[in-house]
Amino acid sequence: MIKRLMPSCREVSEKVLVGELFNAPLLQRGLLRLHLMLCEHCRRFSRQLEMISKTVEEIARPQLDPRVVKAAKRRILEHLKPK
Amino acid sequence: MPTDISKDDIRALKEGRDGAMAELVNSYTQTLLAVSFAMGFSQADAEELAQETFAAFLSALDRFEGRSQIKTYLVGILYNKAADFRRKSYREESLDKIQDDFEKRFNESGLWSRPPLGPEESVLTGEIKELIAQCAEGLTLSQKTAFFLRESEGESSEDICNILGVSYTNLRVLLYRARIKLRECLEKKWESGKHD
Repeated sequence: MIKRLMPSCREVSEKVLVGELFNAPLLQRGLLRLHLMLCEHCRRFSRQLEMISKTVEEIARPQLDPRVVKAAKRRILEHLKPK
Repeated sequence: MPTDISKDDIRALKEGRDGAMAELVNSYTQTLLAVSFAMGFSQADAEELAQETFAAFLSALDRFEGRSQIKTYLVGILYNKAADFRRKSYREESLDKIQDDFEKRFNESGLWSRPPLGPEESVLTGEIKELIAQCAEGLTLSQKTAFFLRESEGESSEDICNILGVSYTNLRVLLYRARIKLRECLEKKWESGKHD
């Protein structure tokens, strides 16, 4: 029964890709979690997508040095002010 | 993340009151620079884009009806400026190929026929971050923008659709394909040993 209801690897990876792994209805969510526990390939796939999300979140941050932002604000404002 | 400036501030801008422009620039420069960096622009280009965005906003202030948040509106202008900036070298690739390659990873029963490879670590190392950052450079402008606004700025789907001028379905496809592309690229770089 569970085997018949269990989502396939393709279905699990699709859910991961659209960011809806844990928004599914209760039963489906339980089956998705179970699949991830049992399937090392899907687990790796899901973990890599998490890494990617976290990294993209951090990409712009190091460049946003407060001094850089402050200097940019000053130059932009000078440029925009009516001459 | 800055809060949206108020309707009074917009009125002050329209009336050309002292300090109103500084308030606008102070409130949104950081966001505009962050989005530009995420799109892959250099510091100088990011600043120029932010400046042009403010200038375009101010010159068309009368057309701003306040139906969307100023931040969403400004990022929308920035996105169009960035697309113009990149127009000559910018080419949307055949996205269907990405989808096809991904589909080929599964057999008829939906099980992996070519399982995912690449890093297994649960901890995000500096090395993996660097590889992902390199891979992000290969995304199209719309994919980068959508992905950054969703993952980093936490923008709603509705706002991202307004900024990019796409439907909800298109946004889902953009994010879906951006994720496939980044993961495939990460796997390729990792397995080819380029991370050494």
